[in-house]
Amino acid sequence: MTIGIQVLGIPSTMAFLKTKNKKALELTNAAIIKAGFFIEAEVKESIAGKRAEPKSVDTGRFMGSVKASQKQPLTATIESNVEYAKHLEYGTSRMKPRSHFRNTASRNETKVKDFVEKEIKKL
Amino acid sequence: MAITKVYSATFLADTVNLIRNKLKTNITDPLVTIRPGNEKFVLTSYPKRSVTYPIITITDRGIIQPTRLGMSSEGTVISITVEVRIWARNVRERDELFGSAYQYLRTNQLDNVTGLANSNLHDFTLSSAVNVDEEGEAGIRSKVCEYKFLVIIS
Repeated sequence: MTIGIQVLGIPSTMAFLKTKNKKALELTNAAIIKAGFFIEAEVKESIAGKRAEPKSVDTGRFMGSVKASQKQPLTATIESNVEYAKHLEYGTSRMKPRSHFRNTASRNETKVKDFVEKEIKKL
Repeated sequence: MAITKVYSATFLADTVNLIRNKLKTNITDPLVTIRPGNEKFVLTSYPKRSVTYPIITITDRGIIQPTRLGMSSEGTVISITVEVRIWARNVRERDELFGSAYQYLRTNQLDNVTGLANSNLHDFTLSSAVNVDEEGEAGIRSKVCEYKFLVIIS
């Protein structure tokens, strides 16, 4: 005995998923950009001494140098281009690390996920 | 006390001490014959008194709990980031010590007796290695390496 199964509507379902998938990627990317700017602000707050880390402001050059940008889709980069940034972040043999970037990242992991979740719910 | 396994109740201290012991035993100190007797080569914090470089410091960089073992389980998987920082007198020494430490950790995961996985440290990953060099000829060259491990707590 042979049973034949015919599934109807495969092309339209595939087209529907393709559209939704594209939309989901766009929304996720938007959330990641928003989260990037949020983290930039949080790092600056940390440098300004408004979080758990010690204040690292003298002239304001380091704080002003922190920038969020998107270098490739679905990523956000928060960075500083001043040469002494890594000394402040990781410490030296004469100074304790201040960990502005790393602590901010771990403190806000859940918030970044919330950004994405909130956007995805718009689907 | 020799730490051979990472236990649930003391997983953080066990992880740091285990990595310290493994590196202390298996990485050759370039100053093995001349290092003062009261100084150590591998430490779990940056020493407050003066030191003789090179040294290696092992510290924890925080933990996260990415998942539980199941809906009705109190067991969890914990991701631990361990910072292994090489402090050396020059770039060559820094990079050689980094190479030795990485090579040891990478190639000693799966041994049935001495492997890290057997001690409950799974999924070894090097997530970043950043050079932090101090200015001048005599400036200390350091490399901050962040390793990640998964620990099963049950």
